[in-house]
Amino acid sequence: MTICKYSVLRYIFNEVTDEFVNLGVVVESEGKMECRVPRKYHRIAAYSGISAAELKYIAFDLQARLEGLFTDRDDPRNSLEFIASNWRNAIRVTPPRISSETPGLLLDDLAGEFFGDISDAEATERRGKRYAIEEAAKGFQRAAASFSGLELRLVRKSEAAVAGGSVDQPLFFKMDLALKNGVLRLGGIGMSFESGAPSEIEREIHDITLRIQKIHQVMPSLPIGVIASGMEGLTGAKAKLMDRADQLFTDEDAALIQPQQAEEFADAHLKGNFAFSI
Amino acid sequence: MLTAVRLEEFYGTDSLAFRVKASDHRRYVVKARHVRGSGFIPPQAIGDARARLLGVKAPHRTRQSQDPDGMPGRYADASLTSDRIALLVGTMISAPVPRPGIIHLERNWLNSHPDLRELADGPAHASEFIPGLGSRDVIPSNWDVELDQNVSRLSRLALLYVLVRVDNDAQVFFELRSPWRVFSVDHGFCLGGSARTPELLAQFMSGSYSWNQIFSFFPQVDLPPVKHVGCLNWLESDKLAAVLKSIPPEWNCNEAEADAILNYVETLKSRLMDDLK
Repeated sequence: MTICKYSVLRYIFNEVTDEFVNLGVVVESEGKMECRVPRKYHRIAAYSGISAAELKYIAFDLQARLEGLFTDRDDPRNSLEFIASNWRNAIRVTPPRISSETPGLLLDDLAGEFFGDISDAEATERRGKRYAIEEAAKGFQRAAASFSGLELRLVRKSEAAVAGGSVDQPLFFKMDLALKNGVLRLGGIGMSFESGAPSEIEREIHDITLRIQKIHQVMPSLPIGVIASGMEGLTGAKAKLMDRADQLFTDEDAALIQPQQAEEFADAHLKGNFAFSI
Repeated sequence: MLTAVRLEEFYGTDSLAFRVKASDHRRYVVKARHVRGSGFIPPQAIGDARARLLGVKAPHRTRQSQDPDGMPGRYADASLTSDRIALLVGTMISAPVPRPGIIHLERNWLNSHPDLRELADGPAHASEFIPGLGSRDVIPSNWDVELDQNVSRLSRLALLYVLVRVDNDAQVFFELRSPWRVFSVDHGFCLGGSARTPELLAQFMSGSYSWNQIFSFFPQVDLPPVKHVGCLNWLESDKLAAVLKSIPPEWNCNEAEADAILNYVETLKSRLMDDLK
């Protein structure tokens, strides 16, 4: 495993009040250094009171200087540690932190987090309900679950649902979706099922637990809740589902939710909680 | 298995906590075991960048004063075990605590950063990072209007604090924006902390329990929280046993200690249910 180091470049635009804007991120890995500066400057220009053109000039100049510095690896002063400790003027570099991600992935992620950067094409594409629905469908496909014959539809602005199946295998999947800054976020999946004949219950439970396992393998970060409610009169089946879910969810990566806790769970884990970005 | 991917911040606190982005893309505050036998934490492990920059040696921080056995390892292990149990029990009764996790730290990942080298690799305790929290002192004066929706959360916390014996070190924080939700974090000192022994827990049990003093700041909260006692039913014996089993063996919580903790929580649960029914 290769460990990268990364730092954030800060431009202290007012040294008296110690106010700064993030003007770049630097990643150092295996002797190579790469710097990324923001694509858009309007937000930090509004905050700092410095024009976007000036900020852009400073950022690109800084990027060129840093990349130039790092070409001479023999000089110990050309390291992230050194500049983080010694640059004390209006441009400062945060102490290096570490990551086990690949440099490219790390840079993309840092640019998204620190500057909110995504490409124009991507931003245009990531708008609208159609995109949300298509991406949600892809998400399910990536989850390696078979959904042939199921209909995907938007229930509310922030929800998409897959409903369908057949009389003897009814299924209903519901996802919390959020389009934030052009990025579709999937907050969590709730699953419910209705049973026809009691003989079908065992098969449905097995089917649902398999799907949960598959989804969890592909999207380990996704909070999944199994809410065993609305099964009054089917006490045995409910207990069976609970037991099965208990076996599956021995760790904290998925939760078996008591009906009474459903609201708390949704509050804590689903609403506005980043879980999975398609 | 969760692993630490990206170090985001080293807090430099006594417990050498740090924030990471983990392999599940969530952010966690992580506390790891310390390398056993190190008698002090050197300044570079404290992360005192300023001291290093100025060439000034920061005083060595020793854990001896807090650790009756004089073993930093024991101090750290007990703290990790306590916090994990508190978070899991809290989650079971829907108390407002962060989501717990176990993050596996790899040696070469730790070695890559000077502040982390004194920490042991292997399973570390993690609690999900909750951004934007502040203490009660910095809440605006009109926040009381928002407190009503925290009553249920605070009541469950009151129960949790009795169940896992959080004494006077409660760390209760509020979101610094509406709806000002309350959260309780860092329960490393609960259940007797580093001084915990089966005998100490038995001694605690022989006495009476009391409600944590923190709740005296919240007159809206009914003490005892009779209305919420029903959530204690969710603490089933087998689930509590599973909580203890989930403590990694590396944290050195032996069987006698685990049994004593289980017994303590179950006893307090029964006592609370009897008293509040």
